[in-house]
Order: sequence, then C-alpha cells, then structure tokens
Amino acid sequence: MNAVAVLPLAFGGLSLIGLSMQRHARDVGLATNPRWLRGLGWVGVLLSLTVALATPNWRFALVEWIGLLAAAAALVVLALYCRPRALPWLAAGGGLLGAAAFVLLIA
Amino acid sequence: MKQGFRQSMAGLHSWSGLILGWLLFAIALSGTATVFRSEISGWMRPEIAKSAPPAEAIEAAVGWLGTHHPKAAGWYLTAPDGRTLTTQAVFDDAAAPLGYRDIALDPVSGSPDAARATLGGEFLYRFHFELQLPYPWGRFLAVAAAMMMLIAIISGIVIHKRIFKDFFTFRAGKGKRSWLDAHNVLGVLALPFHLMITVTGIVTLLTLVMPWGTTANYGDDLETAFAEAAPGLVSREAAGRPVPLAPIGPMLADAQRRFEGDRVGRVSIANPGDAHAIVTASNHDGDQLAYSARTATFDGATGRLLNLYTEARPARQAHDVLYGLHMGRFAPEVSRWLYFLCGLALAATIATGLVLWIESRPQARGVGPWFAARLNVGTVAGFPMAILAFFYANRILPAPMPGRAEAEVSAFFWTWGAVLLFAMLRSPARAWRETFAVLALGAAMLPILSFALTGRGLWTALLGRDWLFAGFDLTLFALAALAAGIARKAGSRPAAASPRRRGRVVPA
Repeated sequence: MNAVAVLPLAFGGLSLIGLSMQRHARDVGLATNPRWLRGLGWVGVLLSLTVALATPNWRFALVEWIGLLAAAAALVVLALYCRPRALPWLAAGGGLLGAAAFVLLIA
Repeated sequence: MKQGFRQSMAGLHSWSGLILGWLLFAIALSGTATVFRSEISGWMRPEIAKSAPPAEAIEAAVGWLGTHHPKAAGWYLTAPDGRTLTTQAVFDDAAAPLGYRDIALDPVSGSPDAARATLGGEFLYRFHFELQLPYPWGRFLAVAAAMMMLIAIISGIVIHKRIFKDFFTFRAGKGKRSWLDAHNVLGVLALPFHLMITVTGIVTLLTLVMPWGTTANYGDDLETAFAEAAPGLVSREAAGRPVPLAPIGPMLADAQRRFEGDRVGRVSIANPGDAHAIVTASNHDGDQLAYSARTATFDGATGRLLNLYTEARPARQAHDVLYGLHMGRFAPEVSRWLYFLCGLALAATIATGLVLWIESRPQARGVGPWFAARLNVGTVAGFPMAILAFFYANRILPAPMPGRAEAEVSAFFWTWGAVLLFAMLRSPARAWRETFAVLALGAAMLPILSFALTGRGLWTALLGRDWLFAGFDLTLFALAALAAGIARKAGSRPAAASPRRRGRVVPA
C-alpha cells in the first residue's frame, strides 16, 4: 500500500529531471534549464525506490515500482500538456505529499 | 555510415511494425484484458455469488468429475481463491469439439450447471497466444509476432533518437507531429514494461520455437527431457485396474501443511479411478514471482505422499520467474492495474505506429496503402468491438441454449469481421469516427443492459461492496469515455492528411 508514497515521490523526482531538460524548462517558462535539478530529481527517484522496497516482499515491490515510475512519468507528460507553468509547484507538492505519506505509513 | 545505419533501422522499424502490426495489436489488447481474466470470468458467470474454501471446492469438483467424466486421462483443476469464485477444470473428452473441455465448476456443488456456459476470461487468455488457430500454428504465429515486436522496439529506440531529449513531450493538434509524439511518449514511458512483456512472452513459447537445446541433449527421448525438466512430477501408466480415488481432502491438507504457509493453487489428477492414479498439488501461482515452485505428489489410491518438490535449480528458477512476470498472476491490486495500464499503452503504441505508417505516406497510392489504412480501422476499432460483442453475447444469449459458450466466441469473430468489412466500405477518416462512437456507446450501455438482465448493477454493487461488478462497470465507463475522446479527435483532424482524402473523394 506504500504506492501512495511512491507515486508522488517518483512524480516529484521525474518532474525535476524534466525541468533540468532544455525543452521542458522552456515549456515551463524558465529562461535556462537549471542543470543541478537533475541530480535532485534522481535523488527523488531513488528515494521513491527506497520507499517502494521497504516492504516484506521486495520482489513484488520492485515490479510495482517500475510500473509506478511509468505512471508517474505519464503524469508529468499530462502536467506539461495541461498546465506546464504549474510543474515546479506540482513537483514540490509531490515531494511533500510523498514524504508525508511515507511518515504516516511508518508511524 | 552512421546515417546509413539509422536509415536501415528506420526501414526495419516501419516494415517490421506494419507486417504483423495488426496481429500484434490484437495480441496486446487480448493480453491486457487477460490481466483481469479471473474478474472477467466472474463477471460472465453472474449466477455464482459465493465461493468455498479451496480444499472443499476441489473435493466437490472431484466428486462431480468422478460421476460425469470418470474416463478422462486426467483432470486439471485450479482452485478458487480471493479473485475467482469457481473451480476451473480442464480435461480430455473425445465428445468435445476440440477434444478437451475447459469449464468452470460451482465451488459448492462441483457441477458446471450452476452458471451459464461460457469460456469467460479463458477465451481471451487462449486467444492471446493461440489466436484461435490449431496447435501449434497459432502459437508459432504469436511467437513470430513477439519476435517482430522485439525487433520493432529495438529499432524504434535507435531511430526515434529524440525520445530521450523530448522525454515528456506531447504536442496536440499538430497532425503527424502529434501522432509521432503520442507514439514516442507511449512507447518510451512504459519502455521497461514493453521490453519485459515482449521478452518474457517469447520465453513462454521458447521450447516450441527453439527445441534444439532439448534435441541436442535428449535426442528423441522426450520423456526423459520432461521428467528432468520437472522432477516434482510423477508419471506412470494406468494399471487398468479400477480402484476408487482416496479422499482428496486429507491429501490437500497434507500438501498445505508441507507448503509452509503457501496456498494450494492447482491440483491435477492423472488416471483418476485407476490403481495408478496420481494426485499432484501445486502451490498457488500468486504466492511468488516464479510461476511454479512447489509440488506435492500423492498416490491416488492410498493417499500416500510420493514426492515433495521445491524448485531450487537456478536456471529453472530464472525461467519460472520470467514466465511468472509475463503471467502476472502474482500481481497484487496496484500492480495488476499497472499491468493493465502498461498493456493499454503498448496496444496504443502499436495503434499509433500503424496510423503513422499511413500518415508518413500521404502521397502513397495503390492497393497496399489503401488496404493498410482500412485494416487499421478494422483492427484498432474492430478488436475491442469484438470483445464488447463477446460480453454482450454473454448477457443476451439464453442460458439453456445448446453450444452457448461457442456462440459467444462466434459473436466475437462475426463482429470483428463486420467491422473489417465496414472499414473497407468507408473512408478511413469517417470510419474512425463512426466505429469509435459506436464503441463508446456500446461500452457505456453494457452496464445498463447487464443490470436489466442480471439485477446486478453499479449502484447495488457499490452498496453491497461487490468490487468485481463495481470495478467492471466503472472500467467500462472509463473505456467508453476514452473511445468517445478518440472518436471526437478523429472527427476534428487537422489538414495534414486531407489532400489525399480530398483527391479521392472529389472525382467519385
């Protein structure tokens, strides 16, 4: 059930990776693409993997994580298509939501 | 040199994708539906509303089979679980059209007469890799298509060089550009899934198309090859002396205890009613990634344990895990929906690729492109329409009708044929719009018709926490909305492909 934490975290991470890319930074309205966001984005993706694997059955969890990563990427495409300028905020929201959900799951 | 390589890959991609593309679309979509095979079967047997514990259901099934099909060489049973209410039974029967029967038995009475006769989700599962063709041709064609798919994926990664730079890009309303974006995004986002499902799909049929490993090691001695591939199985010839089967309940309880917490999933009984009867219980295929892991084999006449086997050979385990990944039987709810969505993405990647082949050749004339454009509509709209017709037939055909299960399958193929024919007679742009509009209407109406005929509707399902019926209806509504969206988009296409269309229509 930790998909509720994994999906927003993966979304946040992938959004940041997107923002670090020239084309997508332009879509969002940034003058340049901040390259350092890429590292932060990967941290988010790895964090989502760590949270995903924190279950008794890591084999099932790994398969699920790959699927959730694809779903999160689809959401980034959707966000860039419908509300490109909101992406930085959505990314931050995803990170916060994921972290909150993870804390709730642990507690 | 590099340019030459990419060009040749482009040719490879578009032609490998086209030739078996229509077949691949049907395989991908039937496979996607098969993710919910248990649920589809449950929906198609609305009479069955409660289940029984696996051991009791198997006992009931064995009781009924012993009375009605005692002469079968073997009964292969799958016990009910949290997802399936009925016991699935496969056994040989010379009187059946295909030489075997695949039926669902009531978990309480063990009889198939409690529910309407239907193949349920088993039909889509079988179609996915046998394509309704005689053995082994359907499987050969399916694995050939899978290999073509793998070629298309790899060459696709090479030629769509910008997919990683424009990773999250989709631009709407730009004609061919939009189709290309959709093709790339759907393909690249779920790329790990697409590669996994294609490679593991080939693995499931590997011994059929590449038997040389077996031939080199065992020659013609296939019996030894089988025995060494599955040491857990005990096989012996029937003795010819009738001896009644020992009570199966205690054997299953024993197997359950030896499986250390895993459920009993499948039970097969070879030579039932014979002195040499063998009962094999396997653990549930949803308890681990690997498709088969544990078996307990009993002497049918005495109930004595003959063999307990847990697979521990790395090569075999690797194979079973790949097989299990493809089957996805392990997948808990979230994973199951992700399998379904990724499967839809794969089908959509194939469909957009087929459309692109036409859109990239606006000047193409002749029989080939004419036919290809119409086959696109006939398959991409026709196949889901056929599945819908299968469901409609399930609700409309009267329960006591003889040959009912086969009639449902006929409804499937006649509908597909009708849509193909319709697509041949219509201009593709119109046919896209019309077929998808009908598809949307059909999917949206099915829950209502089903409620009228079975009394199990969305409202009652939600109130009664009947997640199977509620989920089925809601999924149909979602797919109806998707089809309506496609119909609308197809209706307002930009001018990219219109010169050719106009050129065709005006002189007529």
